[in-house]
Amino acid sequence: MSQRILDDYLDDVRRRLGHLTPDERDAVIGEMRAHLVDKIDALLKADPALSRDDAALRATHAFGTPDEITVQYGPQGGIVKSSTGETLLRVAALGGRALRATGRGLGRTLKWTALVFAITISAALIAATVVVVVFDDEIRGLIPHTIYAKGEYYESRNGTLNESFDVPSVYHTFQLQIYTYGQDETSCVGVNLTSPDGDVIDLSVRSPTGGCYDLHRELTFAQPGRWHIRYDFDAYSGWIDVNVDGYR
Amino acid sequence: MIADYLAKFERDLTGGVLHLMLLVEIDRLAPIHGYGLIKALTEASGGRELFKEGTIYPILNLLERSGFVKSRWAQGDHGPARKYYELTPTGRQVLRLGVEEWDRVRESMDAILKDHRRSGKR
Repeated sequence: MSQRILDDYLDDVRRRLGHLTPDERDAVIGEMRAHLVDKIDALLKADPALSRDDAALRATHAFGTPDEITVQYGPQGGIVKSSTGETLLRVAALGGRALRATGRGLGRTLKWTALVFAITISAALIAATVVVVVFDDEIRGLIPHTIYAKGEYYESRNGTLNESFDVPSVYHTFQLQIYTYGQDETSCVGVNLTSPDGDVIDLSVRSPTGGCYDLHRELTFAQPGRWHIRYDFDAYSGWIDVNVDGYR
Repeated sequence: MIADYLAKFERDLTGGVLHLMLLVEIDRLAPIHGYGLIKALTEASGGRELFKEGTIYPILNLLERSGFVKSRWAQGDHGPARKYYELTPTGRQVLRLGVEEWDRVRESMDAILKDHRRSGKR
């Protein structure tokens, strides 16, 4: 059964890495499987009373949701989001190159560097202006527009809350981000999303102890129309933050 | 909204230095596999979970594609084969410059916080 939990999880990850080559996918999945096997062994060693299934669930939870992991593998197999760390490393590398160049002969290099730099900057400015003018609509399309936002704290809340939002057809896609903070071993807030066609997507992640794990999901959809979100509270104290952004 | 902001702040802060943390630990422990890196980082942070464990793999992938680390697959004592990482000469240069940059940022932040605390507006 624990093997099934692991296989299901890694199959989910694999499905989301469709832009990688089969060899790249195998390498990523193989590395993750080795990590999860080591983690399960470590959890069982630390707590021999733990079942292998529980250890597999805990290992995959600690690893992160398939969404969280795969969103960082870009369409070219690199990283989509440029984080501060990445920028820092790139700046550091550029700084290193600049220092090396300086050491090799400041005078002549500086003259040519300044000339090349000036030409490059001028060309880049002209190109950027042309791009902005020609692709004005496309650039505007990259800017997210808030369709629905929610940020509320609940105290020992029970019952059901139904909310909805309309996605105009002008948006070709929209992104839904949902975070919950505060769930523990027994309390829970279940979250169900219903598409305009009536398809129900259960976003809740149940823990082995009957509660729920905190949610941290980023999902992208393309279907316009009225979407419904149902929150099922079970003694829930904590935050619910939801943002839905449309892209033209 | 405050919780959302603070959660994002923590994610950005940790994510921002995670690249450097990985380079430091790879330099210290090489050759080392992903799970070993997680163990080392968790121990260094006093057992506190700083990030989801799986998030290091896309970063390792990026570091490898950038030429800062190199890897090889090897069979361990048990279980599946593991991918072991070590720094390249460029990676060591980037690590050195990254540490210098981190020291600069930390010193600036310490100075700003010192002034803030002195002002008594905590």
